[in-house]
This record gives sequence, structure tokens and C-alpha cells, in this order.
Amino acid sequence: MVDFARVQKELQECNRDVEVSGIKVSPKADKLTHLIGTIPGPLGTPYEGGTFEIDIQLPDGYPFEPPRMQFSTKVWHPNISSQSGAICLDILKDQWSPALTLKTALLSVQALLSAPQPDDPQDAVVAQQYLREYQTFVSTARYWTEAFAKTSSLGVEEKVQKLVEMGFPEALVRSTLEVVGGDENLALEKLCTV
Amino acid sequence: MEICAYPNFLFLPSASSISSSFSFPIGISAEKVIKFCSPGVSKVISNLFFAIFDFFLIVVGATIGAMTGALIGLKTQRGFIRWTLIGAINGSVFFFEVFKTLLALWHSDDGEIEFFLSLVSYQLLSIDVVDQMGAIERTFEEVPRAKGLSRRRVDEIPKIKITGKNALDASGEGISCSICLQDFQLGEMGRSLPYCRHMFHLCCIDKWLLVHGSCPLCRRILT
Repeated sequence: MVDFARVQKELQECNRDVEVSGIKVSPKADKLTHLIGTIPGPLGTPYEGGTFEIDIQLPDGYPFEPPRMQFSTKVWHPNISSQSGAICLDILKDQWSPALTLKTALLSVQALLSAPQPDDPQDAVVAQQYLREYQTFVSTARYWTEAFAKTSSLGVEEKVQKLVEMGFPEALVRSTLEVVGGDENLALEKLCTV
Repeated sequence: MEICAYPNFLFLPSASSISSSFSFPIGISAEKVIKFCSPGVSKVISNLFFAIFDFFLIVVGATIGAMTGALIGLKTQRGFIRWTLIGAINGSVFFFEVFKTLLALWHSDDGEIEFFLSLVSYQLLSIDVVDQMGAIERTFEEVPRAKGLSRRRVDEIPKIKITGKNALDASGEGISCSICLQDFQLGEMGRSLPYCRHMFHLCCIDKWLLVHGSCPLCRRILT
């Protein structure tokens, strides 16, 4: 049985200093066994500027068993599957300890983004590229960040508000944003040509 | 592992040629000895002679292997002791097998060089040196994983009753159990782990120790 009192406490404490750490955890549904974590891409890496979502499932044995985490945002990284988002990180497997929390685990995932370990890859193609053509790796990772980690649903309301303030009807703004995949500038361009 | 890159498969002999020459050759100088001693004694002496010689070769092989391994370990900075051990085992196995092969050659009628090479490669590969080294490599690279303790062993770790004194940290703030994250309450039972003195609720730490014998905070392994 998951220790819900602990999970509650973790959520409270993690979201208390979200301004400082940038790491957020929120329940996906009513149940506290399925959560969504968000981490900002570390500065000075190809992931900078991106916001990455991680799907978290708590097994029955939590906190005596590690939480099951995988990226729901697509990431180009040697230790993260570019297909499934599965993460290769020891503390999420046999090096888990009940003194770790969702927040510390997410911090470790963020640290993994800063320090790839190509010798112990999860995605062999990415790892090969990292080792053989580092520059190509950096630009692919950056492109993936631009393409997948920057159009998150986080800022949708702000974008809608901004465009509505320019004088466009809200319903049209919403549908246009959806068509262009959330890109504010493309939406504006499209709204102007309508 | 590069160190195991012995002569390749090119010279692998056919199965029949091996089986015909595979009786282990004991008694290199047996004929001379027989002249002086009775057959029983000569066999004992020759066995003894070969045992000592084998032992000597294994020691020499192990020493050379260990030295080479240590050098590799120092140069690659990836585990001095590990490479020394691997080198020692490799060296002793290699020397022993070369000796065995040479004896087989001595006793076989067919002395062609091709046959010799085939025998060398076959014998070295047949003992699965590669597999043995692979096993060693694996055990050395595994991060130590603590096994669960027995109920009896867990019960031996001293229990502590939470009082006003031990429920506060140095700055006078209430401390909490790192497993359930709840504050320690007066009167609750806890366990303080040996050496590191990290304290947890009794029920929390027991559940963990039964499956994983290490401190959740500092990972010190309990035995």
C-alpha cells in the first residue's frame, strides 16, 4: 500500500519552493499514485529553455520501492529512450533508498540531463552520436528541445490572453493556437491573414 | 576484454584429431625412471614431479599476469586491484594450458606445426577463459547491493523510545523520520542504526531492513 500521508507531504514540500528549484509535482488524476513532474532544462545544456514533463507512477511498495518515472516530453539524450522516454538512472532502480523523495529523484533526473553517461546508454543511437559526432548530438538535442519541450500546455492561458488583448476573439485564438501546435508567433501570423 | 584476445579460431581442429590426442600426458621422463625404480614408485615420482612443475608454472604465470594487470590498472586508472587479480588468473591459466599443450605435443606422433597451433588455440578457448574473465568483470563492476537482513538480526539493532531529548536536532528543531517524513512524536519507538546513528521509526526502518540491509540515509551496509 502506498504511504499516502508521505506522498501528500512530499507534494506540499516540493511545491512550496517551486520558485527556487523549478521542479513541480502534481497529481495527474484524483489518485495520488499517478503524478506528473516538471523539470526545467538545465542552463548551459542543449535542454536549456525547455520544460520537461515526467510521468510518475507510484508502485504499491512506495517508498520502499522506487517510483516509476519516464519522460512524456520527447528528449534526445543518451540515457533516455528517444522512443519511449524510459530513463536509465540507478537511483530509479537498484540504488533507490526510501530517504529519497520525488523531488530529489527529479533533481537527479535533471542532473542526468546536464551530465549524460554515454557508456551506460538507454538509447544506443543517441549514445553513438554523442560519442562520435558531438556537435550533431548537441544540435539534434537542441532541436528536440525547441520542437517538443517549449510548446508545453503551461503557458497556453497566457498566450490566449495576450492574443485576445490584441483584439482577436477568444474562440478563434484557441482554435488557431491548437492548429499551429501552441506557437504564439505562428498563431498571430495566421490570425492576421484570416 | 582485450586481454583475452588469444589466437583466433582459424586453427580450430576437427573433433576427431583432438579426441585422439587428448589423453592427459603424464610421465615425460617415465622411461628413464622405470630403469631404476619399480613401476609403482616411478608413477608416484613422476606424478609428484608434474604436480610441482605445474604449481611452479601457475605461480610464475600468476606473478607475470598480476604485474601486467597492475600496470594496466595503473595506466587506465580503472581499478588497480581488479586488474591485478584478472591478470593473475589469466596468467596462471595461460601458463598451465601452454604447459599441458606442450606435453600433449611431446607425446603425440603428429608433430606438424599446424597441429600444434590448432591445439594451442583449441585448449585456450576450450577452458572458456573469456567466460571466466567476463564473470569476474561483472562481479567487480556491480555496485554493492545490500541484501535483506533476517528478522533476528533486525531485532538485535537497539530500539529507542522517542523522548523530548532525542526528537530535537542540534538547533532545537523537531526532526522527522526520513522514511515516512512525519515528525517523531514523544513516546514513539524508533531504531538508531549502528555506527551512523541515523534514526527512523521502528516500523519504517524494519520494513526496509528486511529487504535491504543498508542505511537509507548514508547507505552504510549492515551485516
